[in-house]
Amino acid sequence: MKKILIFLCSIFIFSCQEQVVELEIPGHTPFLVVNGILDTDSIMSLHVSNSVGAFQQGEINSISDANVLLYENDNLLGEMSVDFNNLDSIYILEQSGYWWGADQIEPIYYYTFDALPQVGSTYSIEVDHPSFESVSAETTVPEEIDLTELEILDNSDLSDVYVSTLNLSFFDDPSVNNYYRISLYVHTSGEVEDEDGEFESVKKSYPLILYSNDPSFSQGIPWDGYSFSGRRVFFSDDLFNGTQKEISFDFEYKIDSEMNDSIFLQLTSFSEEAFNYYNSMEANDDSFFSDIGTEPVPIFTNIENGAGVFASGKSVYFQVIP
Amino acid sequence: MDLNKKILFVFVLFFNVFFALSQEFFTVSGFVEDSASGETLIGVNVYSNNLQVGTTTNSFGFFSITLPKGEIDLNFSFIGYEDFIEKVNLTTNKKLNVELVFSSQLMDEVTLESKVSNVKTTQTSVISVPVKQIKSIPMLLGEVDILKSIQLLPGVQSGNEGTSGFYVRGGGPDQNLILLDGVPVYNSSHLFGFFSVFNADAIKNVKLTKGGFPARFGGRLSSVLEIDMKEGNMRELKGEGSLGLISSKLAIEGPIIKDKVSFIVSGRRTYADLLLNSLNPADSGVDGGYYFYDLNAKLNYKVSEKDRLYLSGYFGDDIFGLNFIDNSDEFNFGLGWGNKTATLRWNHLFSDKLFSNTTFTYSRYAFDIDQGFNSGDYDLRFGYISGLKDFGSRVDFEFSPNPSHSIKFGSSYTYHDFFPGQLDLDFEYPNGVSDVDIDTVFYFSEDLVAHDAFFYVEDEIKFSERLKANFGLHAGLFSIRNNSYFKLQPRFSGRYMLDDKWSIKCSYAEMQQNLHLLTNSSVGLPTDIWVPSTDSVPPQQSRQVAMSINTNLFNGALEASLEGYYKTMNDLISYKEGSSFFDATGWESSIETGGKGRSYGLELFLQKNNGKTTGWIGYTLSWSDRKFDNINFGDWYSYKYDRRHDISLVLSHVFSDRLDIGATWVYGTGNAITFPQATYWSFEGGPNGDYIQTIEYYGNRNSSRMNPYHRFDFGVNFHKQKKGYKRTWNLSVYNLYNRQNPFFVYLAQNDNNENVARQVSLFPIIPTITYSIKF
Repeated sequence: MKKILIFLCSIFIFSCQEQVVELEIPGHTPFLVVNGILDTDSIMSLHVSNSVGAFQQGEINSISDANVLLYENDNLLGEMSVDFNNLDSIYILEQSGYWWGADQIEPIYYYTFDALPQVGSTYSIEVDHPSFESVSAETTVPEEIDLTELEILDNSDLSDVYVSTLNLSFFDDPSVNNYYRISLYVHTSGEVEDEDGEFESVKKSYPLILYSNDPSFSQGIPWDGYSFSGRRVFFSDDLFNGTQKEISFDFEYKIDSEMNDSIFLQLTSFSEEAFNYYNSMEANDDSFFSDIGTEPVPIFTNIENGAGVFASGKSVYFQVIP
Repeated sequence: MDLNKKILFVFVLFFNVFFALSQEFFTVSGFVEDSASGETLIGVNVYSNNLQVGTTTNSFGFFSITLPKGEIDLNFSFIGYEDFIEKVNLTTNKKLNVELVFSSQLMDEVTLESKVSNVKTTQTSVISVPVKQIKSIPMLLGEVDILKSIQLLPGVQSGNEGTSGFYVRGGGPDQNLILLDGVPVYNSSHLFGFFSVFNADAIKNVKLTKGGFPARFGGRLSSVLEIDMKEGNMRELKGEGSLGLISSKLAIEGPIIKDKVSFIVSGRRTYADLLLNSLNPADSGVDGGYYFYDLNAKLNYKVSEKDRLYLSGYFGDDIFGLNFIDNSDEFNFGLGWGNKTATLRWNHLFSDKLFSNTTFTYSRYAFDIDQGFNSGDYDLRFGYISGLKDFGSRVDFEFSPNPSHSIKFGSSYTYHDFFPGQLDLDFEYPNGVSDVDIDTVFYFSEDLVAHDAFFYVEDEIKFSERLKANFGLHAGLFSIRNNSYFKLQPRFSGRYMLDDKWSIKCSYAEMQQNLHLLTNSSVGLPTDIWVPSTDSVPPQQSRQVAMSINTNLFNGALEASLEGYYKTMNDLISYKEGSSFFDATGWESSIETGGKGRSYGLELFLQKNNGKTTGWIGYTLSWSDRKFDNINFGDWYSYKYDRRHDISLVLSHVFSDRLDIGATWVYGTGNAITFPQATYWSFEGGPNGDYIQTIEYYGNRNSSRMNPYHRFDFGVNFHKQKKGYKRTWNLSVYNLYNRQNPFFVYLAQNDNNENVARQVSLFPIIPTITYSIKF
């Protein structure tokens, strides 16, 4: 749609001119960026980087010499540190692109603390660096989803694409606001070509498209009689706080049992910060494909004096097929 | 003001009126018409110099003035016409129909002093622009455009370059009530906003009210733009037409029964599609094009001295079609949008003191998209439609019991039928193994029906020679589903004459708007959707106070005013961040509600309406902000059209009957935009958390500014009287000094991989030639 509208406008923009101009924008002082989403299954980890002003020369880098203090329920747990013996690198994707379009790899330093986050505990961080203003943030680890029912109904016909319905039910804690995410992943194997032109077998995962008419799902695309379709769903308990929640999804899949393919259900209970962050990321991506002139969506941050997200979540996994 | 106080206020108002009725007065009433065409004239000053009392003709050319017994001089004056003075010995009520003679001589500026000018009227924040003046303003591609002329007035801001949308005192584009012969027009733009739907050849009068709204108006927060169509020449067949770069126009008017029944028909069509298709080779596999047209028609029937009937209609569409054929693949796309309106009006004179106008209206706006792709293997088609239609009726009364009171009252009812969004999808894939056949309809929102009614009463009271005030009350009721919204909206405007040449005025108005426009863009796309207030989306509200000081300079040759205003708005709506018209689960779940707005500013207006040189200078200093709980993290932010400085200079000069010129210069602070101020890294994303996204940091919404906008346009008209017709060649130049004004800006990298802001500009210097005739 957007392309067509742009095309229509371009008919009349017969003499568009383009030039580099000076703009009146607020000055930018680079700040610290902290990103970490704690999971009760993993030791606590985050990474620190810097912002770069729109017209400033310089690069975003992973920062390895910051002082990161970690607190649990206001008690100092200790300093998070970088393990320089196990350095990592990661793909960098430009704004609003597809993840498979990432081709730039940058080193990244993870600050870790050798302890698992505890459900119900509040964790806070203070990050100092001599070149930037200090930043801080906190998050409370949510309770695990209390799944009480999980059922798969096979609706497959004679075609080579399987169609199933997934019913699940859980109890929502009435004492707090709860935020959830549901995803279904196919775990499969595939081959990739290495630098020498050799093919090697690798494990891959990809999310399935879910279809539902659940009124709690405010995002996604309506499709073929469903009010929601999408590869994952974020939702809050606004419409069912403190009740037994039942959700039904339909999904299509194609797996190869000889390759030991399987399908996993991932249920995540998020802190409010994580929910807001992921929602704003989704909305930001959506706005890229909206009308001409649509306002950009700022990404949620809970980092005081900086940017990024310090949040928490608790995921549980269930193998649903086979 | 609570309900009891409002009722008490109305009671006191009527008590005052009936007390005044006990004195002995007589009424002079009638219609004022153009002597050549019989066309009624709107806004003619009717003034008694010895009594210092006056009025103006209403939208139907009718006036009624009640004066004390005795001899009086009544002076009828109107811009461009010779004055008419009638001596009247008032011993009984008197009917007085007046014909004014169009003056080929330009008015003598020294005679202007005694007329009812902006200094003497009670209402604040009102500007009338003569259509003749509008036609003299040079315009983009030579297309005379009423809405773009309105943008040149103080307190009115344009949107993006070249577009006809307008923003009044910090309000949104949906907050302007545009009335064509009393019918609301919901989308006033052609060609994605580059041209307005109003054909100036069919228009008689244009009047904009920005504040101090009289009680008879309601339903919008920021302005009322009244556009009255011509009624048709009662005496002889006349016409005018033009050939322009992008369109041609023709208007014919004349009597069906002389001095009894007249008509006017006017049409306009663009022809770029015809030209392009004629140049397109038949075997290219591509055809289609874009055009718009509009057609205005009106019938005017003088049934009797006391009754007149008007039937008018507007029909306009924008149509775009595109077809590609490549071997067995066929792609087609269609986009259309348009308005249709119809009005039936009945004027009836119950007595010399009581005039009524009964109106029945129909208005429909819709846009639709059709797209199809057929590859031979499969066939995919979808269609999207959205819009609304109204059926309305309204009755208005004007009652002039005595010189101290002029009362208007009436009521209105409108039936709204909204169809905010429906997508039809048809997909067929007959592959023989697992045939796919989807034929379904997605309702982005259910159809909604709403009932919209109001009652109003207003009284213009003359307390003394110096003090005059208009008190009014507008009671609105909006009902949808099982929910109703009722609101009493008090209105007030007052004027105090400091001396003969200076006055101060003030006004207060509460307004409620029951309809909302969902728009994500700044370019007036047809995808903007009108939706009603519902149980979860309350009506928009506003309160506005305005104060002005007004004067006449150089014996009335110049009118000047300085006006300040402060407006607050509540219950505004906006799309949620990232949502758009194509969103998933219905528009009510895609919007933010409970938004607040505030705007304030100063407007300076200096206008010269008479003499060889006419025009105005307008300057606006203004602020406009918005606040939503879930936008900009709940903080106030600048509205997109928050414009600190806005200047317009409009000038016309008549050298002779054969030559005149027009020029405009505009300047505006750059639009507020949300522009990346920095970039940073995200948390890990992707199916396996194996990449980081570079995120743009925007700071506060609309915290950056595009570069200032300014432009100078110039046009010259060469007229010549030929045998049976008058021809005019118009040469005009848009953006004479080729200013590259910003249309949008974006962050990009230069050849050295440095970030830079790149600005896209639309219109360079554009010369235009137009040929027109009048017969």
